Amino acid sequence: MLDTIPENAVWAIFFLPLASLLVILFLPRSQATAAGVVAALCIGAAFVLSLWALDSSLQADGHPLSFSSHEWLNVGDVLEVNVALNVDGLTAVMLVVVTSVSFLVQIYSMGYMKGDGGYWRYFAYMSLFTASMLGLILFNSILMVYVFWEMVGLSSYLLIGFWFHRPAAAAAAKKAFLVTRFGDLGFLMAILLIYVHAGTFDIAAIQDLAIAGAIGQTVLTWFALGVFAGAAGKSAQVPLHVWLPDAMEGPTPVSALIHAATMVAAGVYLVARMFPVFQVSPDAMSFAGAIGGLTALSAAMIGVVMVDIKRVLAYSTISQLGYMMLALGIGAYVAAIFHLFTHAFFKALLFLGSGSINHATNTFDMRLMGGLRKTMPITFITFVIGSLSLAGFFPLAGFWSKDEILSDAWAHERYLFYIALITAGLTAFYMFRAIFLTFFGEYRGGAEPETGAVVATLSNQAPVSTEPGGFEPDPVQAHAAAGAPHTAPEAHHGPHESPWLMVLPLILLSFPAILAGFANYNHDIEHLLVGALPEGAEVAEPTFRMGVAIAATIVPAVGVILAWAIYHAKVISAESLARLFRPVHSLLENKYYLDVLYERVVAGFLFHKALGGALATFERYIVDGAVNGAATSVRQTASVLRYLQSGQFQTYGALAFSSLVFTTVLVLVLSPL
Amino acid sequence: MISLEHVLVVGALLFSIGLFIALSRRNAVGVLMGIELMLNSVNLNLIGFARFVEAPRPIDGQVFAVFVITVAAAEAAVALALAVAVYRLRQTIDVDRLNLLKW
Amino acid sequence: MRPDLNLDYALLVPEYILGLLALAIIVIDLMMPKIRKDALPFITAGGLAVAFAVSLLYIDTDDNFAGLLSIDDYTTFFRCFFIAVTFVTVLASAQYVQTHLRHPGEYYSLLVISTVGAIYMAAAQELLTAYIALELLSFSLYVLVSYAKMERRSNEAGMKYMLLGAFASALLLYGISFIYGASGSTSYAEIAAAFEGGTEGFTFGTLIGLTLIVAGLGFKVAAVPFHMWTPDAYEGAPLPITAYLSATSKAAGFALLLRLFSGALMPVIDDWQFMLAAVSAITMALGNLIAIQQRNIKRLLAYSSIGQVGYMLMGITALSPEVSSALLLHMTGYVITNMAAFTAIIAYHNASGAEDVSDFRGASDRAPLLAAVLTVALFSLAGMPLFAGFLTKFILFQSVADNGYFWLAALGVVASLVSLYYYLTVIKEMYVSAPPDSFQQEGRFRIPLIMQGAVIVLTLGVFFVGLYPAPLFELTDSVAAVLFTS
Repeated sequence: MLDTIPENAVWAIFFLPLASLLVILFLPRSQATAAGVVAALCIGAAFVLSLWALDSSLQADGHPLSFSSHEWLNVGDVLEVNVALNVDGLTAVMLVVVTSVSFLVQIYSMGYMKGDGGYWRYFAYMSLFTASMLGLILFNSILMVYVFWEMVGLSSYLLIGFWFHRPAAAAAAKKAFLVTRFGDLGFLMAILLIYVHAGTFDIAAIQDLAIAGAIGQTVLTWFALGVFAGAAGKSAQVPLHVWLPDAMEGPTPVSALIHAATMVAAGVYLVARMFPVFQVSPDAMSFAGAIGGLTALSAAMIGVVMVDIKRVLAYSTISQLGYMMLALGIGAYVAAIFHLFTHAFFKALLFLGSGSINHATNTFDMRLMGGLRKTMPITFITFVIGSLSLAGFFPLAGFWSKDEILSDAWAHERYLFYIALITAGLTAFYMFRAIFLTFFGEYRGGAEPETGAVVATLSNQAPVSTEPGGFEPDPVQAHAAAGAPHTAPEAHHGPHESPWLMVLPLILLSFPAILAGFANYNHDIEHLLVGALPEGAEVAEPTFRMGVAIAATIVPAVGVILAWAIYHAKVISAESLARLFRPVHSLLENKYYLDVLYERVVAGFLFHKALGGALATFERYIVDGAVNGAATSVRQTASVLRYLQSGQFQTYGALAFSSLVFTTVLVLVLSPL
Repeated sequence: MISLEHVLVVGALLFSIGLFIALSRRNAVGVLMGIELMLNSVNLNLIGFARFVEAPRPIDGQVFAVFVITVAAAEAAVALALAVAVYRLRQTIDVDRLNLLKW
Repeated sequence: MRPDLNLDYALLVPEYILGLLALAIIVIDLMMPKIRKDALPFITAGGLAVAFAVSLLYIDTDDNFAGLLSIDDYTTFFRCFFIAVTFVTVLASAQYVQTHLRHPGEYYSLLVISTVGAIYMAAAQELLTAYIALELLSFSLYVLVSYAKMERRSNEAGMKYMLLGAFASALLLYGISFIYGASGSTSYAEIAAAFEGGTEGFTFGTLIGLTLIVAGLGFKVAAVPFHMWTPDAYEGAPLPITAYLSATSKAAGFALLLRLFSGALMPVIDDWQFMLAAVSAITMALGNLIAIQQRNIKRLLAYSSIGQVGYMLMGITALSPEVSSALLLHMTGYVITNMAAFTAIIAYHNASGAEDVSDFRGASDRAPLLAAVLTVALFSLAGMPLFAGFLTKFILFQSVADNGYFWLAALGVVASLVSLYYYLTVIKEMYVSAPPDSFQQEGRFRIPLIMQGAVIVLTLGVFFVGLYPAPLFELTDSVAAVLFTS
């Protein structure tokens, strides 16, 4: 048994990725290839320290380890922000998830990003992201959480738009940033609100006050809803989920780390962190549960029709995040975080697998793949393991966590149980659809390496750019290629297994994808997580229900068999099904038209055109017109005043003065004269 | 007997006339004259208050008025200089034709 | 002359230095051979540095000059503040003035004189002095805005600014006359004392006076609906003057507002609080929304600065020692950020002649440093963490919410979200759009060392305030305390 982790070591977990960032920034450009090694080493060290933190936390039964707090901002009575580290069971679990996945992704990236002109920039951003994510988990003050919350948003923005010369990537980055910021609005207001009423930013103190009933019910409900808005933005819950599929424009390892395993789970983490507050307000709880259920089901349905393997995974991620939110909504706090824990591993595995496939075929379009089972055996096996785990087959990791959620849902909220069960079936279906399309059948040619085309267009636009454009094709091009069937599949040498730097993380991630479920075999995780809650908070007791477990195995199995029947054995034709359900199919293919709604109506029209435009028009025409019109009518009634003319200056003066008169009248009416 | 009310009413009338001129004249110099009238109504008010209101130092209002007159003169100087510059460039000082900058 | 007047001229030494500096610059300009004209900004900067150092000697003074100007920590803070802003403006102007403007001597001289006006606005503890100081600043700015004599837009901007400024002065003075009538005095302390005992018999006049003062000063700080000169003046003015307008003119207006409302009008707070709340709300909403539509970078920043005024007015609305301190902090952070943004834009303009947002396309390739600085500054203005803008704005919103105006703070949060949208548009142009074809022949822009140094120092300032605001916050706290002790 190790000693309890000292405070300096916990600080080191936070500062190691930052150190990596600094080293990479000051690395001589000739040594830029060392960036990957630096990042991997620093984050690997942070991983080892995180294990130590987990061990200490286990010894402490998950109760918070006490660290001294440091004054960061403390002046007068306005504001007092103390910074202290907080390591309890929840933190420890998250630390291990973040650092381990991040570490493996760095190794993978060294292979995946090899030769990219932005190699060092990529690892700098990745280090920044890891540091921010660790900061989000480690600090005890909700204000600091918000600061790092925005920082992970910023690094996600930088990484989605990493290949910023591609318009789709740039647009996706901006969209992700704005949509998540929309949720953050609620979060920030919640922070303002709770500070006004509780007078502190300290999370533990807020929890205690909430449990003690020192803060009004209404305030707590609004606070919880504000926090949930932030969480919904970051964890891509309906209706703020639209940014996540587009975020797949970023490099695939980024999608694996940020948009599958860690950052998107931050929303779930935040709600879990604030769980005692949610418990005090049942309205916020059931709202979170309903949104989670809606998200889980609707995203899984879209996943069924996507043809881009990365988008399938993206919708699967949204759906699983909905699952976790649903669990929190029914009070299954332990199950939610347990699912977050297992999901991080198998989803990262699946994303890295899709990156490996892309490395071989140059495309994410599943219609251009097929038969890869023979050429990429390791990728195939690990991908199947990830899928089985995601689909929740006994005894893989996903089974245990999913079963716990289902079991709790059965006990607390039946309608959510059925939603979750259907989602489980759909999940198995779309994952095995992807497997059959990708790894079975005949190889359908892949796509041309796009470097040629993209570099050609790039050189028109940005001659200094040394970016080769990465491996991933523009989705437009990919779809165009898909529309016109490839005539020369063997034009370039066929698909092949990826380099060992990429395969190794796949193999390493397979182990937790299989085994992570047993982490809770002795209720270890449960003890950790329950210990993290303050005194007085109640948690739903997870119990194993055999009936639920059997249902949770049969339903996904049906999904797999259906996928086999449609996409492999071709007993049922996919085309005829699509025709049969055309309205539904096109509704799903267009993602419920939400993107159109947001882009055209909300962002394009309402926000940009209508509101901004109306106000600009108001200044341009109405104000001028009103003054001119007034001038005209005055001129007509009294020719003496015909010199009343309005130009720019007078418009300004007249408007100012009339509002002045208006204000004066208002003052006179309102004040107790 | 002239009371404070009389002074204030005359001041308000003067202010309104000045305001009207400032907002209706096309010529920049005319606008400026309107503003001068508004400033003069301020002076009238200040003097009136200094005369009628019980104050620790009644002279304050009068001093204020003298300063306002001075500043107004300086203001006219700056404005006329600007008007000359504008006229040289555009052969007009109509404020309604100064509309390059808008929206 | 009353015997109890304190005529200690030594209290005003920094302003004497500035006044002499202004004269000296004109004289030097006349006598210096044409070739050495490029030394003028550096002479000015040197003089400003001396004045800055001398101002520091007055820390912890608590005195007043003839009951007109108080020389306390608040004044010292703003002395240093305005001198520093002028210092940066002068350095940022050097190249621009040489290539775009004539008569550099008077240009720098007027900048220095306007600084004196701004300082006296902060120091005034009496309405007449405040008014004269305000006009001293304004007159210098009217001339500076129209300094590009042969440019139609500059001329027009100066003319409009001047006429509307005079109009606003008339409103302000009319309001002052009523306050004088109601209280019988022009000194802040005596006005407060008179209102303390109730305003029976003259409530109507007081209300008219307050409304007109809010309107008049609203013009100076560009609060909606008195903002309409701002975009025009910003667009027409020479670029460094636009920067100066957005910093000094605005900060001086708030320095005056803060001392006036805390010193004189606190007893009648119920009569003006909701008025300012409304103005603040409209200002943030309109400024940020109209900015979305702008295509000219100066106009965009003009509307963005109007939005910022809305946030700051929030601080006057919920007036209290804590809020004042937060307001001063936010103002400092805002000015540092804004100067960083404008200095980068000036440097970019000098190299490319850029005026519109679209002219910034491909800036990340053409001038990577400037693009990075501008990005940092815009993120800071939008209130992203890590940068000054987040913390100062958050502290301001927090203290405002704490003082009973939660809805106003919440509106501020929404307004900052809107602002992110148009700032990102600029960032997108710089990083995503390809540079124009001419880039291939021209290559990267050459940026003078002095500009590079200035933007780097200002950017470091943005990060410093954003990451470790404690020292600055302590400073503003002690400065704001001065306002409420007397």
